[in-house]
Amino acid sequence: MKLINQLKTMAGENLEKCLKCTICTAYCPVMAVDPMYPGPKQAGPDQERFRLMDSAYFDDVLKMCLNCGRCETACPGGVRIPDIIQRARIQYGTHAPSLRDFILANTDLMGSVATKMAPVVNWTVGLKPVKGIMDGVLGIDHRRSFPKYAGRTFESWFKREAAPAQAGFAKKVRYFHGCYVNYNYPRLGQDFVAVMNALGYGVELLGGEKCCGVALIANGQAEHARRNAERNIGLIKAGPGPVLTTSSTCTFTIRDEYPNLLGVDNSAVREDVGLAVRFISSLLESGEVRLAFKQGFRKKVAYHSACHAELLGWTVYSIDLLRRIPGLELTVLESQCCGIAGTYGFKKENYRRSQAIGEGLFEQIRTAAPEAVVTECETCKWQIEMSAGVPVQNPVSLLAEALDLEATAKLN
Amino acid sequence: MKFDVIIIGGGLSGLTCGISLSSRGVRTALVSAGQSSLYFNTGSFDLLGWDAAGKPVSEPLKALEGIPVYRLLSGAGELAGRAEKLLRDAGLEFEGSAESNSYRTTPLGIRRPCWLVLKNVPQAVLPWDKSGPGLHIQQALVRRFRSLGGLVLVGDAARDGKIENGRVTGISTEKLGSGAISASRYVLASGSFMNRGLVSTAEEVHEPVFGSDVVSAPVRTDLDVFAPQPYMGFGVATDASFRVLKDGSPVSNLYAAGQILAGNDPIKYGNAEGVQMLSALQVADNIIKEAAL
Ligand code: SF4
Ligand code: SF4
Repeated sequence: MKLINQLKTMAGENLEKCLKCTICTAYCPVMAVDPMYPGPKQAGPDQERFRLMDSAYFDDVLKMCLNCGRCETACPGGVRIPDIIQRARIQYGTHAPSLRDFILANTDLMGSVATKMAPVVNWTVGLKPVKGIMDGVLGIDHRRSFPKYAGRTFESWFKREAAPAQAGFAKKVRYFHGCYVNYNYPRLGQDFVAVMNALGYGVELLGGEKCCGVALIANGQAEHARRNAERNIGLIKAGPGPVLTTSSTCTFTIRDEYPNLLGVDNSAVREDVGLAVRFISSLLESGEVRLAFKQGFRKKVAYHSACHAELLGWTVYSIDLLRRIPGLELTVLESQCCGIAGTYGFKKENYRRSQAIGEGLFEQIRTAAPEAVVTECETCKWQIEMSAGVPVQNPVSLLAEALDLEATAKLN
Repeated sequence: MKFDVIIIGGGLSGLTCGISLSSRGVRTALVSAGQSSLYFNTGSFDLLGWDAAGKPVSEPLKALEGIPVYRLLSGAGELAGRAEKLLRDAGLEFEGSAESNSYRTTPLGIRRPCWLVLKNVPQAVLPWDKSGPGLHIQQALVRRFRSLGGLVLVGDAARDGKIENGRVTGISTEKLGSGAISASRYVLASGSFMNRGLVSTAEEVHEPVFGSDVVSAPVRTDLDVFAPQPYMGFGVATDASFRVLKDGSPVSNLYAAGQILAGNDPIKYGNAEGVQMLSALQVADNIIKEAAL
């Protein structure tokens, strides 16, 4: 077993390629604000050598890692540092998840309950006494504003309002909408459907997708995540053609975390799964589709490269799309982590660290003073809206806003 | 996505070339696999510290003749001036000039000649942060490149460069796959061994993206103090306009700049940043001239 682990680690995570250059440490946002954190080099390749010999070397401070991957992006040796850290947490972590972690991790279970009672839930979690209880009893920080739940899920909207019209399209894409679109922000899914339809593509859902599992992985529920992964990959395999997403984190999880952390083989379909912006950008590139924009559209936006979009290496597609929008004044923000890292920033013990990490980014946003920040990540949206006070849009929503959808549909 | 130029390598030479091109309206993308050795820069730049005989140089511009790489420049003095301006335009303030070297004391207490010294070096705030100046320079240059419209593919690596009939016809990147980005011209600025611009195996040293011809400069052993390390001098072979050679003939749309160039020995000559910036500027000029961009 030890040997197998060792071989696996050596082969996939490139532990042995570490040059000890320390570059990763300069890019770790946690290390920059909290001296208690040993940093990517130590927490990753250095200590892993010891953990491989004896799991007693496992240190609980590893849960301070955001899994943002900024260390990996900076590493000249190609060491997959965050995978080393996350796998160590899965493999050696001994704590059973708390009730709080269970609540934060089970985004689909909580979402399906909360959507049914959306007005009550949205109202109560905003109340001071409730926030006090969540903070005191559960350890969910009271300063955090909660994402609102929608009154109706995206899936139910899609079934009634959109599904019938999709049959009229010869070309089809499938959509992995994720928990956020389904329970919190169906509007993004609606924008996606509108844009794809205007480009001449019908949209289908996978029919029973599960949460991608990212929050489960981060909260010590890897086994549950693995079951979700297997189900999702099964659904993706069942149909033909591309599966598009609007969340960089779901995409990254399905493409990279499934095989690397959960051991779920996705090789047959990995290339089919990708962000909508990537798909649209390549359609434009090949000349297969054309866009018509609203006359006189004007907007000033700033693009924030979410950690997982950056790790995918795909921020270029969003920037490419944004640059095609006439009348858009675009600032590309210097790439920095916003500090929320999914459920991380909701936890009381992380709140201050989370806000300190994001401060540099918030400052950049205040200076750029855009009408909206554009990013592919839903949790960045919560964090930036709460902390920088600027509305945040997915690039697909911005595209839907800027396009003359009818005129575009005629072109395609 | 189509560009005029794709630069492979996000270090000092790649960024210099990218800034120079994009400031003249050339649509440029830069593929940067992890951070570069610029990270280790301590806030000073070298143009030429010692001559071929190992004697310290006080007026570098007068001593550039015959130095590897510098040989191929059309007007090193002018290029050095432009390099200084490029740094200033990126918001970096330096002291010193190419006319005469200044001296600085290294952490080991050795006085050595140098070209430029960064002013207002950010203090390393954190005990483990030994990299303040390098990171600062890197970020300023990236910011400048982006503000000129340049696109940076961060943490991605170029792969499988295809050369047909003496021309690069396409590359893949690790994260975008094949054919996602293309350009009419390519610059190889991927550095030396540390940055994996060159890779050595037990049998050979090779350049992994295009399989360019790799040569080693003749090693001089008569000057013991400055005897170059055997791997110094390894690099890709080019013609006089910095066009990369493959199987002995130049690839018409592939250039090399910076540490990856053959014959370069930055330790012996004390010329690391000078070679990186000046060759990058020269490559940018050559591209603009030849493409009539
Ligand atoms: S950046 Fe990569 S190679 Fe350098 S110390 Fe960190 S893990 Fe090792
Ligand atoms: S993944 Fe992010 S938080 Fe974790 S070690 Fe790497 S840089 Fe630091």
